[in-house]
Amino acid sequence: MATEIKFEQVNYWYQAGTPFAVQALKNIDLHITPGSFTAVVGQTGSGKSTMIQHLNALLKPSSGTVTIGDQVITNETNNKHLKPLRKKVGMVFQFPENQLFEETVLKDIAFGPQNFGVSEADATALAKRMAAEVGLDESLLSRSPFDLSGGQMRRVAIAGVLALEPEVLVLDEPTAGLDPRGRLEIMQLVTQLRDEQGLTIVLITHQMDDVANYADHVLVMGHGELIKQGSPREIFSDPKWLEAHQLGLPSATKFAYELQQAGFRFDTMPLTVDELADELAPQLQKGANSHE
Amino acid sequence: MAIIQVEHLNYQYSNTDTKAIDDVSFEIQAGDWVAIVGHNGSGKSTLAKLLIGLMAADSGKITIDGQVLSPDTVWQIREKVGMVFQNPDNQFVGATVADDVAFGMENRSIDRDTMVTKVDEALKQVDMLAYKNREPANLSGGQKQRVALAGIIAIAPKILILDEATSMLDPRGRQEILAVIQQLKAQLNLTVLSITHDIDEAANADRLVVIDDGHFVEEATPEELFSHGKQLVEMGLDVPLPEKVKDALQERHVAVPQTYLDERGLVDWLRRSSLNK
Amino acid sequence: MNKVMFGRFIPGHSWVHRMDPRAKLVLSFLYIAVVFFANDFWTYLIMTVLLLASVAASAIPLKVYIRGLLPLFWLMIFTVLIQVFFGAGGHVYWQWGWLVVSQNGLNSAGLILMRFVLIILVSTILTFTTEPLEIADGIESLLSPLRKVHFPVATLALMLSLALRFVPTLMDEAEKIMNAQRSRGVDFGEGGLRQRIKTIVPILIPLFVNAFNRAIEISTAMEARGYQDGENRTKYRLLKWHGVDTVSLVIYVISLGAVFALRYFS
Repeated sequence: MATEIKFEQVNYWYQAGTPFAVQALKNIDLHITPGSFTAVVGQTGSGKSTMIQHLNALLKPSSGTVTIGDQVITNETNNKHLKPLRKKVGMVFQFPENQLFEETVLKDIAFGPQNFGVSEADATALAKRMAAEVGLDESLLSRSPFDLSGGQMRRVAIAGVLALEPEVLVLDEPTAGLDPRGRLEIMQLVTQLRDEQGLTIVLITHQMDDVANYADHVLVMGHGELIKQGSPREIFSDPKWLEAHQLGLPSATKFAYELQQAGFRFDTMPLTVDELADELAPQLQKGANSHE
Repeated sequence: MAIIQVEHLNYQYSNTDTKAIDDVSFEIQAGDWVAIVGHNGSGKSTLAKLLIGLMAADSGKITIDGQVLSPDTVWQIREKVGMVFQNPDNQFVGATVADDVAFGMENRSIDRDTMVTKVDEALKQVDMLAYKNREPANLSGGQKQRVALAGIIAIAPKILILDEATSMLDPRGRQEILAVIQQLKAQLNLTVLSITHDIDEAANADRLVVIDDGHFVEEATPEELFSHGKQLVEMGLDVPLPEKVKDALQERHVAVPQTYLDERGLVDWLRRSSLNK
Repeated sequence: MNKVMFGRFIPGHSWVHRMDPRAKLVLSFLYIAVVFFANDFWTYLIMTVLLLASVAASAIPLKVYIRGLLPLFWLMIFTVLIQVFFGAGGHVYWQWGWLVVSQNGLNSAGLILMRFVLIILVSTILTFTTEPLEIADGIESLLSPLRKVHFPVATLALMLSLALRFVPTLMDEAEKIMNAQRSRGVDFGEGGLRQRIKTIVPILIPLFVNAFNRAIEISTAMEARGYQDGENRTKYRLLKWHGVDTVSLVIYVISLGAVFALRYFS
């Protein structure tokens, strides 16, 4: 059965019951459907990281319920019942290369499944498969993860999470700090996982172009609340609202608004460069450069 | 006059087979903004560390503001250079914002009264005065980088080196830092050397130096380089939006100009070739 | 989790908060030294009143201090029991084999408990009202005479302040690594000792590797900013002795002097 995630009236306080208590999540209701690609956006400190830690029950709601598949989690849920969820929902944190520790790349990737009772032989076979999946060359598998480049280390870390064979994959800014080529490769990997393996994807990102290019659902967080949700088209249809919440537009959309000022017409506001070109091409002379 | 001069520079890390910097030479004129670009692992950051003697080159010559870099001159040269690194946390050594700004001045044995005025002035310039007594744990990455810049303003160097200083920031933090740097460059008449794979940062530069696998590849203006389109990704840069739009239009059989257009230029060209006038 | 109050700084603007860290350090040490001279009802009364007055002057509720004592509860019970059973002499109230509860035992247990609580509370006043960095500054300033014998006071102080600066960063990092490993199926705090040691490895190795890389980057950044010799630097932070410090010093000296007087001249 495909894993579905539901939040109902979720509140979360850090250091609850002390003079330092801070409310990090306020009355969150949300729904992540199986097979979807959900983008989570919002300013630094808007509660995104706290929210995603509820997706695999690293945190339990202070009040309200989180439902992951057929399991309901409340504040009272016994921690012992949470572990199976970690296998269902894989979590790739920011700068995941910081979690590597084993002697070899292969052992590190095979570490996760063994914590869930997979035999060493099976875990190793799984690790080899996942290493290939993320595009790691076989010659690297016997090397120490600490000898690899930053981009390669990140792939090892992602493979280590994929080796859990999760149904939902949560990624917190997986492209942070990479160069454009590295960013493109990671995003291609993520879409491939969704399209070919049917993984549900939850992506935290600051890149509005990635939201426009890949996501089908967007959650906007602000000050611990879910302030808006909808399709990328719905979210990006209100530039004034976005600016008021210090969020940007995809670069193609921003450019299209400029063109609108210059007299171009758009039936639907383009979100990607391809959509922009589709709308522009019929409005242009074919031999346009003869005017140069 | 060239304020930075690099001649036949070579460097190899002890645990590797290939040179990280292989016979690199270039010059930077005083007052220029030069960006060094190249994909991750191309040797850009190594180059930055060699420039102010944080690592010693195997061979070659580096001249900064008329002084040849050597163990005898390294401290004098560092007086003239301010450097901002990639990780905002790992260069914030002060316990509070004000302490961090003062750190460079303390090292130069500047008297306390001068420090007190300069800390406030520098923080004001980067718009962080309100955070003067905050601890780094309560600051965002962008704010920490602004503090790092304040620390540099306080020592008034001639050269500013940015070693991927915006790569760990969110888009807003990145824009803020770039705006501050532009303003500082004009005010203090700085020479800026920025090592980057951010297209906006590269677009700010007067000239770009492309490095690949430790080799000098080419030197060009942003306009010249950006017209390479998709090849830019191999040089560690993003493709600018106008180039992406031109490519997509070409696929739809629209004939597009071959020269590089910035966004303004593309709008103008599109307007000229529009059918709905 | 995170309910430990001991050793934490609580921001404020009270009398004690405004005091010079050097004054607070000196008075705390004086107090702790004099506690060991208190030996009867009157001397303990003075010590207790002085402490309660200081607590009041810190404008932090007493119950917050009490909560700070709780983590040390078992240690206190243990110390008291040792004193009760092994402090022989005087009237014997109860005996079972080699376990004896005597008058002297009870007396010394009472004294020890009292000292324990007073010492913990006076140190807690210091840590509640003084930022760790101020404490470092205070120590540096108090140790500065040692410079004459070429003791690297400034370098040590910088090391201390850097360590303090990176404590929250490293704690943060440890938590992130723990979360990442929990997400990969590690159970912390479960199973036998061997199991527990096994779960520490995936935390300690990344933490150590990251801290090491971080240290290299920090030292590079410090050098780039002109740091070469720890001792020949000017100092931006300045400690200032105010009226509150003198007044506090006078109150402490009179009270602690009274304890001495009662002990030796009455």
